[in-house]
Amino acid sequence: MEKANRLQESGMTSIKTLMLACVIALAAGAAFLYSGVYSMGADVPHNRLTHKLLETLRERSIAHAASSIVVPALNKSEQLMAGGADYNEMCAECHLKPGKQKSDFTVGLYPSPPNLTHAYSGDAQTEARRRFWIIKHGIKASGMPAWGKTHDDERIWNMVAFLQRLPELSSAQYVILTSRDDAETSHHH
Amino acid sequence: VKQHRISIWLGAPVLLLSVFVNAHDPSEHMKDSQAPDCTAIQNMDQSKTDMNDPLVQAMMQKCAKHMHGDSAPAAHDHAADELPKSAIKNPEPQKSEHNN
Repeated sequence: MEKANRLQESGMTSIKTLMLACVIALAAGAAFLYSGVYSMGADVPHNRLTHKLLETLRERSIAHAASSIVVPALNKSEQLMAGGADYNEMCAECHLKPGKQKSDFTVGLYPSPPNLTHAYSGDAQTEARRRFWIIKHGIKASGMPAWGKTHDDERIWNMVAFLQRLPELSSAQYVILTSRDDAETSHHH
Repeated sequence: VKQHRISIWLGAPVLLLSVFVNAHDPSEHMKDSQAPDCTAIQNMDQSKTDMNDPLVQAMMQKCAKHMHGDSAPAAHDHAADELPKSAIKNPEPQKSEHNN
């Protein structure tokens, strides 16, 4: 009986210690949060732990959200033409184009936008789903806007189709493919 | 005076909203679009051209439109004859996984 009481007391002490540790951790976290010592400047990178946590959160979130997206056929010349013009006007400043290695945006933004003129490795379907989701919904606190609020799915898929071929293009080919003639301009307005 | 204040409070957000709407108009970005130099594709290796490649077809159509205006026909007609047969670095057809 006495032994059981001792065990019960010991258990209660452990629980109290754990709760106290949690309260202290929360208080320390809150103190850190409100102290303002963590730099939010885009010119100071995150520490490794924060970077890894945020990157994991972002990639897992996108993979989860994009997993059910059905990828349509992305091999039509019309898609490449429409997607190319939109890419040049909406994306190239941040994600670059053939012959351009950096821009004010790639240097100044944090995290730096990926250079989409480089070939990607991995499954094309997964990448297409991921790109569609990112273009449509954007990414919080990254500078990537949610284009889906002002552009329909077809237009976004056109950009995804163009992105699949972008790494193959030379500068001259890029200019040809991304030019917009008067008819297209009036169509989009 | 009260009505004037209300119109200011209502007018300011509407004006701000209209600025954002205009910012998404593609015409705002047209300055980034260059006229294509279709002579650039004439110097490429003609033996490596796959005319069934959507990328080649797209470039042919773009150049045809710029050469003939808006009444340009599709890539497989006379527009393709006037342009070089080579327009792409990688002549391989598009990956099959894109066709589902």
